[in-house]
Amino acid sequence: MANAGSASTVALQADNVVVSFGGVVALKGVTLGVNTGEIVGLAGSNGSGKTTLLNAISGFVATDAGRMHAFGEEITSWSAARRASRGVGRSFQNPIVIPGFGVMQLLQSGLYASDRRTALRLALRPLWANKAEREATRACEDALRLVGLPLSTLNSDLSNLAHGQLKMVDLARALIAQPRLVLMDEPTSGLNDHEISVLAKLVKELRRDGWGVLLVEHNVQFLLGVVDRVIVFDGGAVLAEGQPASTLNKPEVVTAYMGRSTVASRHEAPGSHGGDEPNRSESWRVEL
Amino acid sequence: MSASKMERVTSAIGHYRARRLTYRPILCVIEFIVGAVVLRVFVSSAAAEFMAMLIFINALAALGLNVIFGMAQLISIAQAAVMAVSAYTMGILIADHHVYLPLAAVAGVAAATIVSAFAGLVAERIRSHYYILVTLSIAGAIQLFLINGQEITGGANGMQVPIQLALFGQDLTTNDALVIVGLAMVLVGWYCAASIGSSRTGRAITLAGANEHLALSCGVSPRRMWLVASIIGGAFAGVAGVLFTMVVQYLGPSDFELDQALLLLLIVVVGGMGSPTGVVVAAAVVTYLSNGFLQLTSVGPLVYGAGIVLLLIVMPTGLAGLLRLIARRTTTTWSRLRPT
Repeated sequence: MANAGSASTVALQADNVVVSFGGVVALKGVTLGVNTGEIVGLAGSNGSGKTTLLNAISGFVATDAGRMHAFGEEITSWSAARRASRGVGRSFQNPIVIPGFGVMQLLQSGLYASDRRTALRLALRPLWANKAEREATRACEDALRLVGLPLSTLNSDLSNLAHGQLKMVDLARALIAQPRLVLMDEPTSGLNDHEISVLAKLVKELRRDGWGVLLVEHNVQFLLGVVDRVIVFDGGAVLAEGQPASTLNKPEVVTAYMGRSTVASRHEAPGSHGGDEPNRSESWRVEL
Repeated sequence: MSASKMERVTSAIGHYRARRLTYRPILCVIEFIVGAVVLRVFVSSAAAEFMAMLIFINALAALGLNVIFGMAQLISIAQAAVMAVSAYTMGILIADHHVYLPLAAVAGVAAATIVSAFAGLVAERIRSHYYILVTLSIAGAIQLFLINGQEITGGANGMQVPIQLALFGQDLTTNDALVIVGLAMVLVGWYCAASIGSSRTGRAITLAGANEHLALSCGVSPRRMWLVASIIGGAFAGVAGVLFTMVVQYLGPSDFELDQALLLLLIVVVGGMGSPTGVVVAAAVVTYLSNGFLQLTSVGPLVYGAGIVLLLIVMPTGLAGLLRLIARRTTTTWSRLRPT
């Protein structure tokens, strides 16, 4: 559809996406685009529709109206599985823990779309199976290295990992399939400072390699430091869009983010809730 | 320091896994030779030979159920009935239509696969927990047909199936020969099951069974995987039914009742949910225990039940968990001994 033709092409184009759950309209006609080699951040208060949009793009939630294109192909009618195998990867806000599932097993599952190890090949070509197994192991090790986890994690059970490690493993699971567009749902929530810095470096590497990244994020420092463009949601619609620093400081954004009444009640001296102090961003992140 | 040690352990396990795949066929041949020698030397009485063949039949059916229940986490209680479909198809073709045995066997396996695929097709449309109801009704329907389809199945009296098969002038229908044939079938079945388990399809089935959302985000359609699992499981049950017909040469509805289906579920649980090796070993243990205890004394079922509960308390991850633990211990020790 979109034919930019220049160096950066359109990774994702969503037009007028509407999603409703029963009577509640979660997305009221959202239009946005992500270019290859671009990191786009979705911000907004809880319940503003950020995660719903991510679910709609990855096919987890059915859309009522609107069209979506990924890399020029219309994906609106595709199943979630098809979207994932055609280069739209995603990570979860709360990583899914399956008892008895190992990290290696999870990462190998992530290889599914490009995996050539069919049962027939494995049965009839044992020598090839050896090679393929080694390659898969190496791919898993590379994915773990990418997200900054020690290789020993490969032998761990998912239920033995800490929350931050689980999130990184989940991200590795999404990245091992080499999607060209990655959707991340609150990647920094529950991570410590070191893990956040690893994540920031990783996301920038993805951008350098020409991947499109769309992430839902509450961490303003992360949005300011990493993201190319920020889109602020409010009540299921786009409120503002643009450079992170300027967009996040717009008065209407700050109001939507904090809510007029909550700010007044939570802060003892709400003298400057107009939002002209970007340095205070850390303190109001905690409130959310 | 400790991290680098862990890295060595990791890579050792990686190599170990890769090598195991290469050696699988060789292992299979060695197992066949050792198994054949053991059967020839130690299993001589008719009762012991029958027990061995019963173990082989259960192992094959349980290998299939392992894909459905152990991997896709769908509880099927139709596995014995699917076996019956294969056994009866083959039996009717041989007894009434004088079809050549291998052809009848292929038809039996195909029929079983189709019936199991039907369960999978229904499962595709409903949520996974209802699979148990679907398979229960399929098992019930088949059981009713076997009893009431007097002219075709012989009804409650069952039917006699004359088996004739020779290979290179060697009669394969004697008990001595059938034991070896059964062993070969189980080992080929184990090899296929192990190959499926480590293939992309096997991983996808396991993932679909573990978590639907995770499966979708990996590009796996859970519903399609439930269907695939049902088809594979049905094919294994079909092969088990073929072996049953060849061994028993008499088909009656009572051999394919619910207790047989539950026994197969138990074998998969004891085997450790998802491990072909564990399932084959568990088939031997559980079949032996159930028959030995159930037939000897009146307290047999009690001892058998208590034994199974004890087994699951001691080994909550089944025999496969135990095997994995041993493998991990050995690899860790090995990599510690290895010079840096």
